This record gives sequence, structure tokens and C-alpha cells, in this order.
Amino acid sequence: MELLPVIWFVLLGFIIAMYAALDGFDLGVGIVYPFLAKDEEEKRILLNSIGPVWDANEVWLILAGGALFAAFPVAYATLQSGLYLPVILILFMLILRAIGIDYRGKMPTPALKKTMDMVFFLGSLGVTFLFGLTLGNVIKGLPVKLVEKELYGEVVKTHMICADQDCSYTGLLINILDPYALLVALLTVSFVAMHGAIYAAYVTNGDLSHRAASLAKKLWFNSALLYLIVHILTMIYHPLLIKNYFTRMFIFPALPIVIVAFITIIVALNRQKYSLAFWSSTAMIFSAIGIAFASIYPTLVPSIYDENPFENPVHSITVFNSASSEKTLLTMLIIALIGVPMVLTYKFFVYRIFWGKVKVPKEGGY
Amino acid sequence: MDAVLLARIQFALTAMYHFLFVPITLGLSLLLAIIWTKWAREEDDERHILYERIGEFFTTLFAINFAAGVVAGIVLEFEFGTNWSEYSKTVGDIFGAPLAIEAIFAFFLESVFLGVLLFGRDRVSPKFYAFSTWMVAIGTNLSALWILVANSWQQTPKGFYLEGGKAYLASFFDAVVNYSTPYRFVHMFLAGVITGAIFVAGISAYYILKRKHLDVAKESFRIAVTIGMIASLLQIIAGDLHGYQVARTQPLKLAMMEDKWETESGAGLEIVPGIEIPKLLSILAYHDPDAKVYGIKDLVQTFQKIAKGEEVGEDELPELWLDPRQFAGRQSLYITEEEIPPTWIPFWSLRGMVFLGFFFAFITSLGFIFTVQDTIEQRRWLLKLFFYSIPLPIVANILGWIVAEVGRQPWVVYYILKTKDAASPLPAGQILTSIILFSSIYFIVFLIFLGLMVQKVIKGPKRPEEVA
Repeated sequence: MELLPVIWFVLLGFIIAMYAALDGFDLGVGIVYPFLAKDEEEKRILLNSIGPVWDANEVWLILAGGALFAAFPVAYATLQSGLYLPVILILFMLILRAIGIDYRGKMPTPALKKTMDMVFFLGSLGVTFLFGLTLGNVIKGLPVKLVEKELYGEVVKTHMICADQDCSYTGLLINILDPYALLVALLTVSFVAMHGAIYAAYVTNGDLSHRAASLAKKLWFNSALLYLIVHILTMIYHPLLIKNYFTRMFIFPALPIVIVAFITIIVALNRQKYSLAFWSSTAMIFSAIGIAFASIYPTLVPSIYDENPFENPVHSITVFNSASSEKTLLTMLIIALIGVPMVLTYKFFVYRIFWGKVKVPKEGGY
Repeated sequence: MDAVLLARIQFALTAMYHFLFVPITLGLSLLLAIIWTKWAREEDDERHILYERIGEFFTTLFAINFAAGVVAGIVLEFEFGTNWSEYSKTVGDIFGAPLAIEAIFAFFLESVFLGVLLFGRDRVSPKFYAFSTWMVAIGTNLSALWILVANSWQQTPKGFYLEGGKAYLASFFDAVVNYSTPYRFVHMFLAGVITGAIFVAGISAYYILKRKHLDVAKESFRIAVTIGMIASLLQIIAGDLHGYQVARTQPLKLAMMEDKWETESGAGLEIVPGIEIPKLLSILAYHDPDAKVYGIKDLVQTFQKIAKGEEVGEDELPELWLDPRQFAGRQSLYITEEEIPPTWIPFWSLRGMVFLGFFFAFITSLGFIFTVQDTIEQRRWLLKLFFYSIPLPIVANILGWIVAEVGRQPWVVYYILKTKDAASPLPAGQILTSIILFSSIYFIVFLIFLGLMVQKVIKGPKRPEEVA
């Protein structure tokens, strides 16, 4: 076993978990926003609660894209071309959402402001749903094949997600609307909405905070139910994932963390300890990504054409067959070890400026 | 329609659209950093308020512009995977790194401190606020640096080896610096500064013409033309050096830019068709009046020979830093004249960019002189010219990129990978769908952007009493 690809797999998991936990709360605020805010003032409070940070949170997604590209170019290329329209739709929704939040406050009439509210909500919901759908599809396996093609007289082995039998086209469309993946998508929406509602309860005051908390509780039950269903379905239809996870759970005990954190959330919400609820929900989302990563290791994209993609990957894209050269992985690791702690440090200091109850800025802001 | 062509159209559309906003962000962030630093340092109350009004006004415009630009940027990073999967698989070992580094070292810096810039003025000290604007400016320009690193590697690849059809990293330093990064980054950096400066100067000129917000407008005009003049004069040198580098690394691009099909010693430069200055092309390209400029026909022949592994004589190629002979036998070098893009595109784009560049140097210098003389209010024609020039640097930026990208064809990575071998094998219908999706949302965003800009400019900066 080579060490560098494994380190990058873990690092990639960390980056995606950071994205899910951080952009998770502002996406979540976007989803619960139309249901929570009763008037213009409350809308502004909610928007400004994520205003200074959402853009920087989204950079984790760009970093995830870059890290996947640099460390596992084959996985990056195959996954994104294979899931062409879903990826394009995610990008489209990210644009909608950014436009909604950035330009809403500058709109001259209430009707235009309302339109922007809708754009922001739909964008947030769409992004979350589509990420869930992609995650669901990846963990259940995709029709990846290892094929040979010719480039400049040389035979090159390459992975492709095949849209048709003879694998001449990539770019799945209908195939991804699988019931299992749809349920994972719903679960993702429910988790993220709850995360956002808890954040809203934590950073606002009075009535708004109470309503956010009671919405968070409803979403908690919703999530619990969906989580159970997804778990049972996984046991029935994708038992290899569970088996694969349990062979590794002692390395990173994500499942116990998820369970403890999940229970802590409802206890903390009931006692109005919103800070604790928020950090628990953060830990839960972070660890849930950990479970997903541990379940599919050593693959990045398990193939449905493999008997057991985790023990005997032939067509699956794995950490090893898609990794960059050792030189690239090492160079990038050094850069990441310098860069990421630096980012975390100044991010921590700047976020601290804005942490706590929302103050709608007198100048600027949303 | 052909899927490769559609993928190219989509990349061109999304990249050009992104670049309507990027140059303003690059330059304006720097001007804002300067303005807010003056604000933080100014002890005289009246001047302090003046800089606050300037800073606040242009920060609002910056925010509107940034929002439109940033959303279009994310699309580009993912397009290498969605539309250019074969490219990403072939050169991902090298090309992924600069994009990841851009996120780590540039985007975080930019976005985290942008939060302070837009939301934090009443929460942090003036010094920290000014510091944050510098971080935004540095982050923004660092992001340009890493994009230029990535693109320059495509233009003039270095620091890699080929094995099993793929490119692998041999030297990180060589891949990053390669043959053209320094030239092209300086050129891009100055272009951003000029764009930001003319943006600020143009809007300020509008207020001076209307005799509104005169105190704010005259000061912002002064700062903008000073910086714009320095940058646009330096750009003349940077542009010349960049051309020299192109001649040493991409002889086919040079021939396409000049529409030269036949090899010629002591070649003249066609300013426009019909007006030719003898020997000037040889002087500019090789700093030697008698130097030989190789034509497209001969170069295509030579590349075919190299692709077939045949011997190529010394005089069949100019003296090059990036020598195609090191890829002897690689079939990507086998190109035909049919694969050469229409040369009028790089030919006219280059001329458009250069004429505009000289025009910017001219108006900013005049603006500077009249500001020093304090006669700018009477030069109404120049102020009008500045106002109407606001979009021109953006045009120049895009023309420059057209020269760079069309001039690189038929390769996506010079000499080693052809564009047509780089696209994802996607059904054309799916690409068409995404083109329609992006075009429609971009069109709407652009209308909102324009509407908000006009609205904010009409409203203008705050009055002194509104600030204190």
C-alpha cells in the first residue's frame, strides 16, 4: 500500500467535510429562510447572519475541486464528465444562490426583493439536494468501466462512466434518479436544513430564535426518520458498504460520534443550549462525511460492474489507480500542510469578529 | 453539432463572461486598498471623511462587480472536469496543482477578508480595515497569478515528462515558472490595474462633468490617472517583452498573430493591412532587424517532420526556448494547414489590444498632466473621453485573451496535446443544454449588474454630513 494516496484520500475527506459543515450552515439558512423570516427585518437578520462568511465557506468547495483534480485527476475527470448535467446544475444553482443573496439588498422594489428571496431559497435547496443526489449515486456505485483508447498511437487505459453499452458516451442523465440516491438527497436536505435552523437559533434573539429552534426540532425528527430508512435500505441493497465501513470503523469511529452528536442536538435544543446544539450538529455532519468516505475506501467511485469494488476493484476508480504521481502528491501535501493551517488561523480570527448574535451592519451588508 | 466545437464554444463563452468582471476586480481592489489606507492614516478630519466617502462608494461598486464575477469563476474550475475530461486525465498530474493552490493561497484570503470589507467597518479598527483591503487585493491578484501559471503551462509547457500517453511532473518549479509565466503575469497584472484605474477615472470624470460630488471626484480622478498612467506606460514595455517571449516559444502563434504564411527575413510589421513598416516585426519579435520570421506553411511542414521523427535542420526553426524537437515522434505535432484557426482572429485582436493600450497610455498621461495643472475641469472633451472609455480596458483584456487562446490552437497544451483530443466524450445535446443554461443566467446577471451599477453611480457617493 502506498501511503501518499491514502493521506490525500483522508485530506480530501477533511476538505469535503469542512465544506459540508461550513457551507452547510449557510445553505441551511437559505433553505429555512422563507419559512422562518416573517418580515423584512427578520429577513435581513438571517441574511446578515451568513453574509460575512458564506463566500469563504464556499471556497472549501473550490478547494475540494482543486484537491480532487490535483491528487486524483482521473476521478475528477471521470466523475464530472460522467455526471455532466447534475454537476452543471449544481454550478447553476450556486450562481442563483449567490445572485439571490448578493443582489437582494440592492434591489429597488419589494417585488424584486421577493423574487431574489425565491432565487436564494431555490438555489440553496437545489445545491443541497443535488450534492446529496451525487453523494448517494457515488456510494451506491456508478457504471464505471476501465476501457482502452488510443491517443497518438499509444494505447491508454482510461476510466469512463458509460451512458451506453459500448461506452462511447459519458454523461449520465436518467440513471442518477435512483430511489436510493433520492432518499440520500432528501436526508442531506433535512440534515442541512436542521444545521441551518440551529445556527439561526444560535445567532438570533427572541421570537425568531425560538421559532428557529422549534423548526430545528421538527427537522431533527425528520432527519432521524430518514436516517433510519436510508440505513435499512443500505443494509438491504448495499450490504458491502456497511461491511466495508465496519472493517475500518476503529480507525475513525465516525458512527458513534454521529449517534452521540445527533442525540446531543435534541437534548441541547430542548434546554435552549444552542451553541452546544450547533457544535454537535457540526460534529455530526463532519463525521457523516467520514462515514461515507470510510464506507467506500479504497475506491473513490465504486463501479457497479465489480463484484466487490472494495476488495477486488477492476473497473472501480480507486485511490491508487486514479492518483497523481508521487512527486505531485508530495509537493501538494507540503503546500497543503503550509496553506491549510494558515487558512484555518486567519479564518478563525476573522470569524471571531463576526461570531455571536447577528448585528445588521449600519453600512453595507445585505 | 460537433461536441468538441460545442465544448469550445462553452468554454469561450463562460471564460469571456467571467473576464468582463475580473479585470475590474483585480485593479479596483488595489485602488481600494490604497484609498482605505489613506483613510486609515489621515489625521485631518475633513480629509478622513473625504477618503471614507471615496472608499465607501467604490467599495459598493466593487461588491456588485465581485458578485457577478465570482459566480462565473466557479464554473470555469469545474469545466476542466465536465467538458475537458480527456485533458484533465492527460495532464492532471501537473494542471490540477495550480488550481488547488489558487484556492488555498488566494481564494480564502480574498473571501475571508472580503467579509470584513463588506460587513466589518463598524466592528474593526481603521488600521485592521485597511489591512483587510490589502488582503483582498493581494488575494485577488494571487489568484490571477495561479491562473496565469496554469494557463502559461498550457502555452509553454515545462518541467514534465511524457509516459504512457500522459504528462507527469518532473520539476514543480519549472512547471510553475515555465517559459512564459513571469511575462504573462506582469502583463495581466498591469492590465488589471489599468482597467481598475480607468473605471475609477471614468466614473469620476462623469461627476466632474456634471459638477456633482466635485471634491470626491477630483481626488479619486487624481489617484486613478496617476496609477493608470504608470501602469499603462509600464505595459508598453511588458507587452513588448511578452511578444519577444512568444517569438521564442510559440513561433506558430507569432505567425498567426501577424498573418504570415511565408517565411521572411527582415520582416515588416503590418500596422493594418496596406500599411507596413519595414523590418519592424523582426525587430519586435527578435530584437534584430534582419531576423527571420517563419511563416505558417513552413512551420506546419517542420512540425510534421518532427512528428514523423525525421531530422530537422537548424535553419528550419528559429532559435527557441521551447523546442518542439524534444517531442520528436509525438503525433500531436502532426498538424495540417486546415487545423490553423482563421488568422484574422488573432491578427485583429492583437491590433485592437495594442491600439487600445496606447490609447490608455495617452489619455491617462493627459489626465495626469491636466490634474497637476489643475485645469482638468475645463478639459471637458477629455473627461467625456474618459467616461466613454470605461468599457474599453475590458475589451482590451478580452482581445488579449483571444490572441493567447486562439493563437495557441490547434493545441490545448502546446505541442503535446491537441484541443480536439482533450474534450469529454459527451452527447452534444447535453453540452447544448448547459450552454443555454449558462447563457440565459449570465445574461440576466449581466442586466442586473448593469442596472445596479447605473443606479449606484446616479446616486453617487455620500455627502460629508451623511458620513460624520
